[in-house]
Amino acid sequence: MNNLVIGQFVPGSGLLYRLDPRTKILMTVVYVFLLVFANNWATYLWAAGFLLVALLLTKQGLGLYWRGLKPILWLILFTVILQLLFSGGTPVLFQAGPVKVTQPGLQNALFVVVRFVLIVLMSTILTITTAPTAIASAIESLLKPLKAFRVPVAELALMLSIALRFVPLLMAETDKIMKAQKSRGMSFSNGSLVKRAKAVVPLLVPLFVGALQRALDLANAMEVRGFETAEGRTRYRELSYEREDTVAFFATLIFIFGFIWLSIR
Amino acid sequence: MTDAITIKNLTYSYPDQGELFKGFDLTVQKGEWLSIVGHNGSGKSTLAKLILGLLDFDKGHISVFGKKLSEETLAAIRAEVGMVFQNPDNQFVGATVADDVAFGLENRQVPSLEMPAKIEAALRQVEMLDYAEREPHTLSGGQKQRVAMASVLALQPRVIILDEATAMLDPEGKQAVLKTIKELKAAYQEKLTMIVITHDMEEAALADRVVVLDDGQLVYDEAPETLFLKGHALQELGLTQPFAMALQSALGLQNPSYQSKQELATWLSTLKA
Amino acid sequence: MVIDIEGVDFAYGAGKQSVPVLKDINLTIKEGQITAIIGQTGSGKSTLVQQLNALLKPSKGQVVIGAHKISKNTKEKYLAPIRSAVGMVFQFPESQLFAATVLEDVMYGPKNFGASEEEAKKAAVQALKQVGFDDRLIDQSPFNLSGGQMRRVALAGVLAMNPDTMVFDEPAAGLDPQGQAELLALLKDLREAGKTIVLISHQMEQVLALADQVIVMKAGQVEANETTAELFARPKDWFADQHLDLPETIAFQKELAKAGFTFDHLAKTIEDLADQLKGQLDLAKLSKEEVSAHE
Repeated sequence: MNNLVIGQFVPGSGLLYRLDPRTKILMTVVYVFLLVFANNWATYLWAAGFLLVALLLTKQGLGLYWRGLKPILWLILFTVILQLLFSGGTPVLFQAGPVKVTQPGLQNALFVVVRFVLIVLMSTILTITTAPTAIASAIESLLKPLKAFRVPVAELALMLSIALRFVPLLMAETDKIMKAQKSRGMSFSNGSLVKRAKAVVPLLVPLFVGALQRALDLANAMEVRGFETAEGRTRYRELSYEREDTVAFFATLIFIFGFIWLSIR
Repeated sequence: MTDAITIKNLTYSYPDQGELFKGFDLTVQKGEWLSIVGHNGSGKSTLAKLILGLLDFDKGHISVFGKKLSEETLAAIRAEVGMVFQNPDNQFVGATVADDVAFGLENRQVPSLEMPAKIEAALRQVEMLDYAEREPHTLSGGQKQRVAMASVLALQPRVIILDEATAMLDPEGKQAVLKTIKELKAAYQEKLTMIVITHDMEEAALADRVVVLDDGQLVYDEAPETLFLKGHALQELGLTQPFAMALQSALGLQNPSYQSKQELATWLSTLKA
Repeated sequence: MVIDIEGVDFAYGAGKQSVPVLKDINLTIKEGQITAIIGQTGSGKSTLVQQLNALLKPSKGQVVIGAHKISKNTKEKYLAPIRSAVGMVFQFPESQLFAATVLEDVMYGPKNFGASEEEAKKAAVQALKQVGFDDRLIDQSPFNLSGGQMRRVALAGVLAMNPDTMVFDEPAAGLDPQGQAELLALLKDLREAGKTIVLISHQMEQVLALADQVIVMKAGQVEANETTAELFARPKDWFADQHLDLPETIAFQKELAKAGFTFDHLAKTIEDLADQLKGQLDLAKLSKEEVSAHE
């Protein structure tokens, strides 16, 4: 579980680390959105080029990203096979009984792979270069307009950042309780579905009880340090647009226009 | 001189259980280092929670620096009294060490620009400045507890309550936390009142005064030098004597007086036949 | 049963990212003894004991427990007899409680290992009695109990499986002095009853009071493996290098030895230390100062 790169923050010093998290989130959203409309090799190439620049600006070794992709390779392979086998069209490149591979099918499959990989890598860049708290406060800032509709944005953002903070702890706890119950003979592997579901109870109950205790303790700790409501608190890490963000903004604009031009040409 | 904390005629019962405190009185003087000891379930931690208004009591009153604890004064009292809890993991709010120290400052609406200096000062006091950008799961228990102390210190309280803050630590972590407590007391002297709740007698022996609780009753209230002479009586309360006192009792000395092991060793050497 | 650890390496993860934790461990855990495993936090103690019931399988080498062998390739289905032979009590074991009643929780282990309802109940009642649990509370929810009582229930949950060997990871952590003393007594009873015990502890007082043999871990390797007396006879500096404390009685004894006092054996308790010391003190001088009347 520790090998999972997607969603993990990896401290570093590249230019992308210095960007405002809001900039990075917006860039990622725009990028993913545009990729859906990519329809020829030129657009994919353009998108890949943009990604490569971003990747290099994180100053992280490419090995890190490769490790990020590795766990989902089988998923990619699976999609490729589906695309290959179930798209029609001509010319047929290869046929064996009911199975046939067509040229449009092949091209589609390749497009899907590239799109998939680009989206995953772009999101990985976001999470690798942005601390979870920064993501939480960026989301809070971006969702601010929703306050007008009485959405408790500040509370939600705080909840998100605390939830993220407790993820490693809960993973460790799960591991420990699982081992304790395994030592007492718990097994998941045999029996009917109902039986297997029942087998999980000795794992889930302690996890819930433990999480509840943590929540109560945490509430006390927060209260004595003067927490009353998430609204109106000052910020240690203020988000602020800097020159780098303006540069990123223009780079994204260029990317968008280039992309549109290449796709309608 | 105003007392730091005055508890008068306090009555409190656990929900669905019998009374824990009944007509309980305790005064903590300003600038004092007080230890509260007692077996598990004797009411030590509950008392701390009552002082900070985390639990509501039934009768009596608690005042902090002359201010009576109530709904209206709660925020002001929490600004005066900081607390470090037992479980290092369950009081770490921030995603990094610096963010955790910032949490209280953010609640108190300290302007963003003033925060870095305050965070730095607080982390320096507990010798955790080098870890400012670290995430909690990369720290040891003792380091987390020192961050918890920094988080409290950053708010400049006049009273710090440590509620079994060393109970879940390994010996190295425990020693580091104790060292920090001693340094803080030395640095702030009379300006900081320290309340250390513990069942570790070596830790209790560092205090100016020790209060022993047993099922919500105050059984002893005296200096560690005299309290720890009561070897057998302490055992009955589920407590032990610090090593140096226990050895003097075992040697049959009538007036054991040497608290530190070093002093005792030196003195015994002069008696060598 | 004797447990042999033969040439065991262990690493978390695989390939380039793997983190080695144990390196070439060769040990024998003797039957019917209390073996303590000590070492700084992160030295590999917990990882080592998890090899003993195959919660972690060695990356290299093997662990031999009676007729069973655990190696890298041991299949999950062969592990049940090993898990029932080696019981594991984790740190703060009360966090593993889950059932609606104390009795049900303690019966969980025996039932998993094939005991009938009746046998499991008998084993559970017996185990709860052994850990000193108040038998009027066995139909209560474990979550209504005090921390100390919950700890007992969790211990009983492992004891009820009747394992030959029991592994305890910091069993006294978080208990008050009285709770700690009761736990020590329980471990002694278990050894009397013929169990093999492996104890991870940071508290050298516990190690001194209980252990027959001590294994010192350092950075994933065995730094020392000797009897308790041999270990504590080592100089103070050696312990400092390992980031370990000496038990207070022994540290004090060593301190006095420097001043010229002589001792014929390591003091296990404060009373023992006092007895060895009394003859060497100048009683005349002492009486001038303060000697008790009943001496």
